[in-house]
Amino acid sequence: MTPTKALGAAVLSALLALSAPAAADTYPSKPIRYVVPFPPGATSDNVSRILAQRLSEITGQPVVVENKPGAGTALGAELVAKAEPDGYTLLNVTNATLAAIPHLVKLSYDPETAFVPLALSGDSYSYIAVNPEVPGKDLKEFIAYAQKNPGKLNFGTAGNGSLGHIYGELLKLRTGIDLVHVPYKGSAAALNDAVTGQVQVVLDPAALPLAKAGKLRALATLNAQRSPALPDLPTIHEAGVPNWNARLWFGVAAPAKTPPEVVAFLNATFNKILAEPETVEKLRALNLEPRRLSVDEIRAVVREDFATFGEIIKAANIKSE
Amino acid sequence: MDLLANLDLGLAVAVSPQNLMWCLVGCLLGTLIGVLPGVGPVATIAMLLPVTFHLTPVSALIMLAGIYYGAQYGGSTTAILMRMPGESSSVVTCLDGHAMARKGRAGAALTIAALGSFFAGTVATVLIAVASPLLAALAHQFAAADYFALMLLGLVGAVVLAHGSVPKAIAMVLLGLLLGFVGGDVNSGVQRFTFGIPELQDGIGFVPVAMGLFGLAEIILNLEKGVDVYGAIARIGSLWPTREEARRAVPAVLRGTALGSVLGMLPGGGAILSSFTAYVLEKRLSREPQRFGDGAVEGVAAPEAANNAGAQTSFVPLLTLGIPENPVMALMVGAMMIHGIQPGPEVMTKQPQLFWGLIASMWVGNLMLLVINLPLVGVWVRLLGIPYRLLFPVILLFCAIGAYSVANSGFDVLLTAVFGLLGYALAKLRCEPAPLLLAFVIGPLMEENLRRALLLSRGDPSVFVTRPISLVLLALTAVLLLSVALPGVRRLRETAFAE
Repeated sequence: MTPTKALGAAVLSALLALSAPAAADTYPSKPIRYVVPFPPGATSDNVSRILAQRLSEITGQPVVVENKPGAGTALGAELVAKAEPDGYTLLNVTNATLAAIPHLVKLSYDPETAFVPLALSGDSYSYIAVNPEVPGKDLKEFIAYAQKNPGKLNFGTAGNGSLGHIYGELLKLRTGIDLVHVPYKGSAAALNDAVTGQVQVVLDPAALPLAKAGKLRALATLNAQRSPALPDLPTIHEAGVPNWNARLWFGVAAPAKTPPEVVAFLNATFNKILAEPETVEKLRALNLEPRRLSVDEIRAVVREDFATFGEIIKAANIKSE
Repeated sequence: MDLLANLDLGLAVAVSPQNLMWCLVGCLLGTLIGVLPGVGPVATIAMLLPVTFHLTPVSALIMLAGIYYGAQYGGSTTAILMRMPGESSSVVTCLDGHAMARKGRAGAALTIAALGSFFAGTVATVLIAVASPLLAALAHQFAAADYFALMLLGLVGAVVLAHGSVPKAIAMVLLGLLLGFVGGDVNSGVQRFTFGIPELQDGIGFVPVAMGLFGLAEIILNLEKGVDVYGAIARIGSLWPTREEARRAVPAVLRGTALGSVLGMLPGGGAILSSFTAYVLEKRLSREPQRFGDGAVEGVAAPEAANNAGAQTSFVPLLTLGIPENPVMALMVGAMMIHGIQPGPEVMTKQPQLFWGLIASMWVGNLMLLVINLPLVGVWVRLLGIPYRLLFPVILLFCAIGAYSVANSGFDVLLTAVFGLLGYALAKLRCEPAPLLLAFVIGPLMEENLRRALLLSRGDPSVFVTRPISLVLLALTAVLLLSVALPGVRRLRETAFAE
């Protein structure tokens, strides 16, 4: 940093410090806008409504959930990235918005510096599941079958560059099997075709109810821990696939320049909410495991995911312009 | 018998005072938002979702379902009175429904729509109760190749939709296809016709196109003509259908119900097709196809029955598999999950009260809608008596709100205005917007399924003729195509001989 810049930064932080106490004392003094870059009914939307309701009850201010879907979450994220950084505009994020989409889409904001994370509201459990007609009772046998039949099996996903696509390509990279990617518009259609056998494989959180009912056969949980919903199902590590480092989580973020006091307040408040047994129960019903991390801890998680997704997307040559 | 015991359980749940009340609230709200042009069930359900947190899961779902089919009923009201389709399914109702209104038969058109919808809703509800698993199995016979063939049939049908010149109809279909291509390609992710505008990356929404081409264009044309009272176009007339109208409507409702029940449960666009297909079928079967577009009763009765039957059977994939086939169903899944119910095949056995209560409430809701809507027919028709200079700014305002509310997007309001101007230009050129709109909806689905079918067959085109469903649909397409082309061929020959 040059001396002038350092001086400028010092003056700026002094000014911020002067104005800050007032902001922290009174925040929030007006309604908070909570942007969800997905349509109503999506998991992101459900998580947001649970958190928004509690945030509103605690702060006494209305928290308005605003769905702003489009361009693979880029529209909603851009809206928040360019919003006034005063703590009155929040963004519901997934790690895909923060760490995967920047590798896939040209964005009008800098994904690495635009946001400050406030909460990690839940790790999501995803599953690899196959149509029941597909041979192989566990992941190992399935992989052996796939190796003997290269290019015969299809995996259906929610679209190009979706998490299911990234999971599928990662599986191909780690095991050397050859699966054909069949993109759909949204995971519902892909799951439907997996049940009918049009495609054989899906890698998706929403495979759970179908697996429980025997319409699909779950082969592994794509997480580091076993899923409480299917405790007998091995994790992908236990099933013998090495170095599985992709994951999905949900969180909350704000524009990067939001005053530190407000960030600290929101981080503490969200972590308080995420500790409430009733909220935890609601989130678990959505297949999520809430975590309570500091802002710096979440930043570290984002950095790790950013590198991981970058590596997979580059290695598998995933494109979604 | 199991079924009777189940229905008994369901009815007991549905007619409990609390659930009856929520059903009524849902139906009323649904009718209201259906009547407001452009404000659809998705935006309304999204707004009301927090309210349902405090209800029991059954009550919550009953209310949300009420909003959904209430909006289907209400949507036809604006389509008939103001040529303003709020929902994709009410687009075809505009064609002959509004023509009837112009002839002073608005009351009859609304009554037929309400009675036809009630009948179709009742049949479809019974069908769901009796044969959900069977219906789901039937829907599962459809693979990508079959969808493609179905969409192709629909596209050829789009030409038949047209009232006037066939070349102009084909031009409109092509324009609709081009508009449908806007956005990211599902297979490759490549952006098409988006000009770097992020709002176009997911394609153009249905509401801006439909509301612009039909509703706004209609307003511009009316203002140009200097219409001062909408109703002045015609007397209000009797609210009840004549004997002749009823005679024509009954078989159309029956056919529409059958068609809608089947097409409605196909995941991914099936519901959209049902009302269009019902209209095309009626026009083909009619001995006087020239009456269509000019206020044919069948053109209102069949699509209205089809879209309501489809609205009910679209619950089948949700109830049997937990897979939502349209945005409203996705919201229902969200509502279930918030209440800790994992939607899926197990709901039927593990939560019988919820499953059968919801089904029984569908019928109760349809009955309520009939009771709400029949007396309202007179009220709606009187709306036409409001001076147009007072009426049109209100319609315009609701259009803007409706366009905005779909995705909280100001861009969509702008798009609606642009399509309004396009609709005006098309009207001046005597080109009809209905084939354009159908192609706009079907085109992307057709392409998606064509490419998926070829991807799954590893590039072998024979899948389209080796699958029986696809083969039959393609054969039907060929027949329809010939029946459109032949009169043209004959006319061409006649002119050649004349020279």
